[in-house]
Amino acid sequence: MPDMVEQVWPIYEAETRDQIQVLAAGIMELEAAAAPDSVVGLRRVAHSLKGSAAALGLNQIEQVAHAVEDVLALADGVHRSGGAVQAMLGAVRAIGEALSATPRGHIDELAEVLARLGAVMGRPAGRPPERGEVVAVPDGVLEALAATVAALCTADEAARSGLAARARTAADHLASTLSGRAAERAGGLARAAAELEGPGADVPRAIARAGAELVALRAELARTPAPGRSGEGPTPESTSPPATPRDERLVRVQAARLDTVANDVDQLVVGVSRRERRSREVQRLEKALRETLRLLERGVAECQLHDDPRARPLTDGLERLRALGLQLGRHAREGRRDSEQERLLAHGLRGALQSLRMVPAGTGLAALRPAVRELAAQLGKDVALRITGGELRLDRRVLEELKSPLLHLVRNALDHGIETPALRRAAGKPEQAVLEIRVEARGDRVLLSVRDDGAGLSPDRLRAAAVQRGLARPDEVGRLSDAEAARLAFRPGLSTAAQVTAVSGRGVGLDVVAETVRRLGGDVDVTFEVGRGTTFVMEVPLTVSGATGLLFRAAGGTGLLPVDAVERVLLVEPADLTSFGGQAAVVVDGEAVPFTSMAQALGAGDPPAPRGPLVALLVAAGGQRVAFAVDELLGAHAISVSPLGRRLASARHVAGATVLDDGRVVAVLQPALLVGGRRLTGGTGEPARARIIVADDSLSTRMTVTHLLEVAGYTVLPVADGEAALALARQAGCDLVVSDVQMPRLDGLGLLRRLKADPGLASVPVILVTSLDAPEDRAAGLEAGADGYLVKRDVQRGRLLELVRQLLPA
Amino acid sequence: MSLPGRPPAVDPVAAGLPGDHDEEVLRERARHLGQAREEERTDGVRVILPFEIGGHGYAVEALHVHQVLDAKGLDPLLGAPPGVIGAIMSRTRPVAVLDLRRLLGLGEGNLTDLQRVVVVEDGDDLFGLAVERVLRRVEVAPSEVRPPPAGPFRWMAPPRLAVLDVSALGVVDHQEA
Repeated sequence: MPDMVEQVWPIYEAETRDQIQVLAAGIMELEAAAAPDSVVGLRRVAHSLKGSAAALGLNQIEQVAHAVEDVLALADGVHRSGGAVQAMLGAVRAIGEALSATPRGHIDELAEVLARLGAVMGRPAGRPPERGEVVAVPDGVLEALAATVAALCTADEAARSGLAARARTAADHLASTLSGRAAERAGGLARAAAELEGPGADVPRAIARAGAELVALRAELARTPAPGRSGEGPTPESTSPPATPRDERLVRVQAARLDTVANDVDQLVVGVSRRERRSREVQRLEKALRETLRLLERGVAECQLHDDPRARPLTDGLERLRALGLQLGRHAREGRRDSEQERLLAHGLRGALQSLRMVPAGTGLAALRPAVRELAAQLGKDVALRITGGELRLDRRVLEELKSPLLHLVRNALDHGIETPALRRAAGKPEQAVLEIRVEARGDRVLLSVRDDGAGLSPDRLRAAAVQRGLARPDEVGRLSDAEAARLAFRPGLSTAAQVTAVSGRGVGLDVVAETVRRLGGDVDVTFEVGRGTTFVMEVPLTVSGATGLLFRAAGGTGLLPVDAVERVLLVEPADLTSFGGQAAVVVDGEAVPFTSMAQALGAGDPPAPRGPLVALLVAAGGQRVAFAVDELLGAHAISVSPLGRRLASARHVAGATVLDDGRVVAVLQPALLVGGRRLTGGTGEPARARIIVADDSLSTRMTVTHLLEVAGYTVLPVADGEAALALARQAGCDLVVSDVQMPRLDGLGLLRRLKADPGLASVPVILVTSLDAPEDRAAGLEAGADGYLVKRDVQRGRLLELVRQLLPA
Repeated sequence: MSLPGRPPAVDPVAAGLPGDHDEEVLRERARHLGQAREEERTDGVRVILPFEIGGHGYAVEALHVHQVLDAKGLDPLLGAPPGVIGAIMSRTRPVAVLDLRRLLGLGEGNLTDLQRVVVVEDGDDLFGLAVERVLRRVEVAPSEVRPPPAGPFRWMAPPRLAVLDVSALGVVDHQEA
């Protein structure tokens, strides 16, 4: 707990000071006026005071706040009596003093304060601190553990294994009751012991590690004052000064306001570069003016007008123009210098603001503690939550975005991962499960892992579910390695259906977790050990803004890709294109990389015209690389991405939008989804896959169908209307067409007729998918030559795959 | 339906355009909006902002209106789903702009017909509706409110103005996917 208190203290202190001010003012008013509403508000304040103190393990403040809340709850206006008001004011004052006390949160006259509040209520106030909040470790426990570790040095393998198991259990228990570094040390000890339990361990090294961890654990415990004892008086170690000097002034700012300022600063940066461009333009004009002047002077000289008195106004005018030109040049240069300076300032400001937005990860993770406690109780499971690395700072916006994914992963672990105490006992595990949230820095990125020591994910169950829901064929899931099968959990169709329990059913599915993380420009992965636990790892950037984007033109529009996702820009000659596994590919560094046009990847339809060399962006994300052909590369821009809200939710490859220097709003694409959205099964050396054109003007239907077919191993070419489908079929060829009936430009029936009339394409089977299920529509479709006719709701039920397999020769 | 007691001296469009407004205008508009909210609470009178699109009249509740912008600032958005026509800057924030003609099934039209963007609030979300013409705000008495037709509508205002349900516009049901 001490680590946690250190990090959150400035915020907690400021918040608590505000609350006690409100409380004190309200209590004083109670005596004067009797507004029943105000009591409710005050009780809420006292309640939240109690809650935040409890979250930080500040028992004494918690007890006092609790008692104040009780007094405020007294009926018949007792709380308005002079005695009650005095007692409560005393209590509030005591809390205020505890904020500056050493150790933090220590209340000198705790007994007195509680007694006065108790007197008002006619019963003792306060409550004993809850079990589990005490961090003190009885010396005996540590000594016993030390003895066990010492005894590990034996040649008898069976005996060693037994001792190791004992040491692990004890260390695990310690790890779950402790926090911060001490917990880490105990965890390390448990891991070393666990290694010694099984055969084949590197015994000397593991024993040495266990010993080292034990020594470190002792040192940590000696350094950490036990709050249980500090109540009686400060121990020598606990008199250390607070981390933030008392006189450091803190200002609390509403997060939303900070965001607004950040937005304004972004606008400022854009404005400054716009002005810079204008200054350059003025400079250019000045240069042009000088050249024009030279031209005029030459004319004057050639006509020998210098001595002609009639030409005086002309030569004078030229003289004046020259002077004006010089002035203009000076202004332009100064303007440019100014705007360069402003640019530096604005960028500095942006950087400073960014650092203001950086908060310790622990502040966001603290909220998980009560959730875990509550949920574990609800599920009848015994779970210790361990948070490490909470002091790492990251962008508040990233932390904010990760809140619900984290909560989901935690719920998921508690609900599905961690077993009941009885099952754990039967499996030879300690009854108390450990849920660990670890935050680690990786350069400008951060890893957040949620690890449980439960039963571990079942890849077979996921495989079965994928087949059952029509997301894949049995032979396909059979080909997936266990690690790949585990990742099926992030697939949309799968996770939502798996979340029907009361606990994880709320909120988001694992697919949404993955999507949120990817929207942030990160990635998520899962690993597991059968019987030992599951670990979800989210890798996200430390900040969301300040990135550089590569601006390109494609599909008749402009878009941006974060520059760090673009490995390089390729110039691809038509001859460089090959086919690999039934799809276009380009060879980069001797490796065949899938090649597609950006337009196609975005569902904009138009295939690339392979005339002359193509510019392609080699995009890497999540361990995959894809080359996307674009029409033109327009340069690099500093970007700050703003999300576009729910209206863009169906276009998952769009991360948000940004404003360019010239005021244009441009879409920023999401590399991970652009790359990952293409294929999921992967694998090399597969037989050529059938190509299916999917035409639908609804992006969501198009994506659903594409997804279904891709999982089933087909290469899918999605387009938005019949016209595009026809063009693509003629140009690139295909083995089957799945088309919506109602579409702009060329509808499904029109497409069908045109395909059947084309000698090269007449044999391509066409499936019409529609929301209409009137017999006459079906008849019209079949009459026009459709080989299959499906209603949209049957697509999910596996009917589409069935039909596709029937129509396509194996 | 009755016209507002105080004629809105301000064209909401002009007031929303960045650059060519002055404080006075903004303050006046803020006062009007503030009153609209006030009126809503006390006597049940609802204030709507009617507009035209595809030759039809629709409206949004003034409470949801964040800003009215000139559609000149609208930029197409690469990779946007159908129904999203582009994006525009609303104050300091880019927002998605929906193609109402498409969402309401009014058929395709000319992009140049869309003159205005009504930026509306849906909870934390801001988004724009591209429309042809924005009309004066109108007050609707509770007795004039009629049930809505099928579609993303909240209620009907006389003479036949369907008031849009902004929270239902352009949202794909995630469960479906």
